[in-house]
Amino acid sequence: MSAGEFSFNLANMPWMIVFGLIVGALGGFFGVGGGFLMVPMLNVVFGLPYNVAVGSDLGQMCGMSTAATVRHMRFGNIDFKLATLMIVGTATGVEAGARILEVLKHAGSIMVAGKNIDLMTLIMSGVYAALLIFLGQAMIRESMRTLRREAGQVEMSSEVPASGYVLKIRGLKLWPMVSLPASGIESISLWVILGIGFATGLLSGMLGVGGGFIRMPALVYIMGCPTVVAVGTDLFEIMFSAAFGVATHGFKGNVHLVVVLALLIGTTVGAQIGASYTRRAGGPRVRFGFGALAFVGVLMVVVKLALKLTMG
Amino acid sequence: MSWMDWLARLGMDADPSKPGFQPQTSYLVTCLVMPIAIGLLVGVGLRVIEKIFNVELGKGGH
Repeated sequence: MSAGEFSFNLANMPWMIVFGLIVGALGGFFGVGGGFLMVPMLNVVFGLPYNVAVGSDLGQMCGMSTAATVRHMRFGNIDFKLATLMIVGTATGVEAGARILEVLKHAGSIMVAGKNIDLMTLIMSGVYAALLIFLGQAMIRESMRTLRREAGQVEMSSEVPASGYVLKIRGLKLWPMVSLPASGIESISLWVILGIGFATGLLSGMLGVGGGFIRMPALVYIMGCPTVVAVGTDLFEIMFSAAFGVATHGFKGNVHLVVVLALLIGTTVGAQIGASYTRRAGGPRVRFGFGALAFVGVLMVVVKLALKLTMG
Repeated sequence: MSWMDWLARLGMDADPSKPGFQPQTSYLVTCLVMPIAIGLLVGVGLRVIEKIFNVELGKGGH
């Protein structure tokens, strides 16, 4: 089903804005885009097919990241050279992801437990559940480790990026080599930058997520970028990958403009509310809550799939 | 709301299952311009508010 075939009841608009406000506030509070939460919830709560949910979420993400990039530019947190190079890999990944989704859209349905279920719903639900479980457990483990460290139970060195590993990556003499002075990197293979861009672009195009939860740690732990530069550059990158994603999904008719507008109204306001409350809560506790939230998302995806299988 | 109907109609036209489908240029342009314009409005608007009232608001997450 495309955006044109999905009839959105305008009476649901206020609910969609409230939904955007909540996800935006959670995203702003936890410091992420919330795309990984937004898409399955649009499918579960509002009944949007996954392809339309992905296309529309990329639209709202494009607006959100534009607003955040303007703010990060003020703090000088963006490495424009790194972002520009990474965009090439990201754009290729986004297109590949959108094409995979297109194949799934026309893949038809299969029988599971005596019920007919479309392949796209089944595969996307599985991928989302796996992604949320991975993300949730990683954040809960990391936050608990940090809380223990704060209590003096674990050595400080456990949180320091593996500098030896970073040096190994930087030492890869795979031509062409580039220098990134704004990130303090003298020389690194272009293929490392393109590889990180492609992997996150693939997730973005297929799942409608910004990929920030992978790209940001990759920039810090694989390339050795300073954290603030990684966050700013990541946002700049999300702005472009989301814009490219919107364009490519637009050509396939997957972007529902009314949904994008409703979500944008909610998320832009919600993100500011959430971000201002982050300062009041401790970082590790915020990340622990985020991990728990991811498992709530898994539960909702699994319940919906189970209901579909039992009730048809 | 007529502009809301206009947005909804643009979406209706973007139906790839119709024979000979090609997305309308206005649909594609709106897909890109609307989010970026709203984002710029919010980002620049927040900077203006900070300057006028001399406060620092949240960084806006992602």
